[in-house]
Amino acid sequence: MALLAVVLATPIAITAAGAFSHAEWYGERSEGAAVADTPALFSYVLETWGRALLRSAAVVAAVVPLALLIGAPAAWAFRRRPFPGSRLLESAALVPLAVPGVALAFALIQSAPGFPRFWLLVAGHLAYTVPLVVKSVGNAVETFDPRLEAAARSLGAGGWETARRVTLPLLLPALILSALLVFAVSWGEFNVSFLLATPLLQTFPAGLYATYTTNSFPVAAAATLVFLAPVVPALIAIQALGGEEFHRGLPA
Amino acid sequence: MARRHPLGSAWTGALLALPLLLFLVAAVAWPIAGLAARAFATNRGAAFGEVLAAGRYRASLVNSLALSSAAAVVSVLLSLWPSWVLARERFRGRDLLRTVISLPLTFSGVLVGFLMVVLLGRVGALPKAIGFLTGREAFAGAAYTFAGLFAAYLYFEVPRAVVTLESAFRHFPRELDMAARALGAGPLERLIKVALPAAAPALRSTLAVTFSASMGSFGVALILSRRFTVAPLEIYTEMTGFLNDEVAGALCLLLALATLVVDRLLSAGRR
Amino acid sequence: MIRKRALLVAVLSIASIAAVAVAQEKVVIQYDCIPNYANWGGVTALYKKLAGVTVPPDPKGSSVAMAALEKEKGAPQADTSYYSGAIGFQAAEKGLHEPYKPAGWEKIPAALKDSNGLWWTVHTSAIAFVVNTKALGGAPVPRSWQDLLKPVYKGKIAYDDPTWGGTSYTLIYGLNTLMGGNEKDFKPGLAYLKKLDANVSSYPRESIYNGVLRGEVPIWINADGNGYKMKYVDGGPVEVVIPSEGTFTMPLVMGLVKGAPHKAEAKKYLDWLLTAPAQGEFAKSYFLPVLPGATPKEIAAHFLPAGEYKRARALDLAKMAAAADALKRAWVDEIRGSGR
Repeated sequence: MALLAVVLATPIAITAAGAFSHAEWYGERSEGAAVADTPALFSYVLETWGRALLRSAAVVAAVVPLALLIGAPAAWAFRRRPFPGSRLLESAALVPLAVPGVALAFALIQSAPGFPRFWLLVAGHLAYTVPLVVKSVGNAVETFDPRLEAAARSLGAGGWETARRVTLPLLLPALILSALLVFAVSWGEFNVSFLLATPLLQTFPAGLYATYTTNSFPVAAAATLVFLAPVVPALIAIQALGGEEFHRGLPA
Repeated sequence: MARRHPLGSAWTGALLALPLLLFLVAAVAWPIAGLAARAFATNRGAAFGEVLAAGRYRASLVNSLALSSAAAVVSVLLSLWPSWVLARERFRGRDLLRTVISLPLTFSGVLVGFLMVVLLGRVGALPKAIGFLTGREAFAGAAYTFAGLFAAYLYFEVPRAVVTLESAFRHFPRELDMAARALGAGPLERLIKVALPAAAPALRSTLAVTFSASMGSFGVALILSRRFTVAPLEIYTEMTGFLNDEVAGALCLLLALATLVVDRLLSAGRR
Repeated sequence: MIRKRALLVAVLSIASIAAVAVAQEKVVIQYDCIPNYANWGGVTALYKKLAGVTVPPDPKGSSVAMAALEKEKGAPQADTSYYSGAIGFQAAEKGLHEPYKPAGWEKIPAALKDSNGLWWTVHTSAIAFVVNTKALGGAPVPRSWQDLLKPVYKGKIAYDDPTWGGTSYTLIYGLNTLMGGNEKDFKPGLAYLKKLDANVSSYPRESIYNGVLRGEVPIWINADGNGYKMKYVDGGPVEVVIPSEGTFTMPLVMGLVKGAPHKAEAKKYLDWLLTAPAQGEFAKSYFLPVLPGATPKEIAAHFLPAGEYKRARALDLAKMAAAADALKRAWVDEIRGSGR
């Protein structure tokens, strides 16, 4: 378990250290004397790609609630209120994940030429996050006891009230985990954004890509840290939003 | 008295799923159908013939299927223990551990590829470190081997699988778990004998997610693979290098169909 | 409690979306505007200072930029684009540009522009070996195309995938003509490339500037400007070599996109790019300005002597564009192979 965390974290740590270390392996810092010291590295990154950070935030802010709104009710419905074709629809919900970003981006551009790019970009992000919500919430609904909701209804609660007081609290951990997934995937989404976002809308991962390819390594390292910096607090905050419900586990 | 209308209940379901349906049609099905339609229309679907005949395109589809299946199975296996532990045991630093495991979720395939090169490229950190310690650099260039490519796919998929699966283990009926505990079963035994059978549908569902994400994954192979090609790479080359939408559309459609079929197969056992 | 949190999240979301929407300023959109390539970062920063107009960065390469322009024909988003010569020529041929002759037009040599103003050169480079001498591991620096075939360089060479990179397409087309082929006969070039393939480690579809600088790839066949920059700006252990049999020059071109959303500002920007200050900024990245005399002396001194460049010949862009699809397909079939 801890091993997994270490394995996953190692490449990140090694890369990130490149922003601080002057070790030879990381190579010279380029782009002139302007990036000779570490603060200058970060200001170079922020100056060049800082706007992109804000745009990433805006896109994610739209994508997370929309993904949950589109995916979660459907996931619940597939299990609790199936209808003719619901199984097929549930399988179809996974298909967007298999569509390569370049194809989706170009297809969206061609089929909706005048449409505001920001919303096309959000749609692109949703394509790669909604399936995750459907499956993640679906997994939860699969395992919790339907009798809890039935009990509420037989006690006289209407559909909406049952949802608010029984289903939603029960599903809260799954919703939090889904929000985590959607936030993370959308924050880092590159394939579809690369082509779907115009330079005015371009999100940070494109800048990250540019530093890894055309800049020296210390610049890429600094950009990686800038990229990750908002993620850690955001992930922790999302989990905190779950409150006690989310953190409840079995007693030791 | 339950106010249950069998017909009404299906209508409720359909209504709740309507946004999803509308979204899928408008944002994915319609645009991709446009691409595929061109593939059908031009030269009476010659593109499909091209794609299915022996050659690069067919090889890329076969490679995608094989690689995605393997990556899905292995990553779900690897994620079983972590997601079980995260879901059930309460311990200090659990949130932080989940955060660290979720960090790679923010990495696009391209970034995973770059990190792999940093770690295991010709002048990667690991070979250099081993060389420093033992005098001989091992694994230099491992990133570009098939093993390196597969490892990168795992790095990409395991965090997804962990979070998706955790949802299922979370809501696992406590009574069953507590009963097993009371009978003296340790966490591993509880996982294998109690949790897994009950969570089988969730496992299949997670397999489907990792399979689909691997099918569409483009960045990892872009950075790391040398000769080995996968369908998304061919689609990229056709669309950007040759402006050949027909072949790209055919490949896309086949990718989508394969994914749909696999998910239907995986969920076939469901009640 | 959940309601309060949800409300807070909703407010933050709307605020950030609004912030992005509201940001108004004068802009020109250029596709393929990579900050650390050809010093577009410096050029656009200078323009912002002088004219108050923002030209945001764009990470697309030439081929991808052309594909994007083609897809956006119905509702153009870009005002201009920057390309490797042959691709810019193709873009103009496909009707993606509209004619425009920027101020300073007369100063551009006839061979480096389209007579109708559909495209023109902003700076040039030459194909060379960009060699990270430290990463060579004791092997001698190669001096010729024939040298590259020697077994000592096995796994040490890379050039970009020509279906992706304009520079690499120039490379394979040029090599073909050097080896005796032409726009209809690709056999000589492909024969050489097949032999070279034994020594090539990969055909990247992204710039490996970072990789070469780090030593991941010892020999990169790419634009000389990138090599000089690695050596003199980044301080890397790099040597630029013009192969003894000869090499090819590559013009980097731009055009005005048909239906450009900010046409008036775009024209002013394109005019400015041919003036001395802009051209001087390009020179800082060791891409040769098209405007004569715009290269500062210190930078000119860093280039290999003019004698070396006598071996660099210009290629016929029209023929290159006509042969593009066929040659790229042939390369994929012969060199990239079956994909297993």
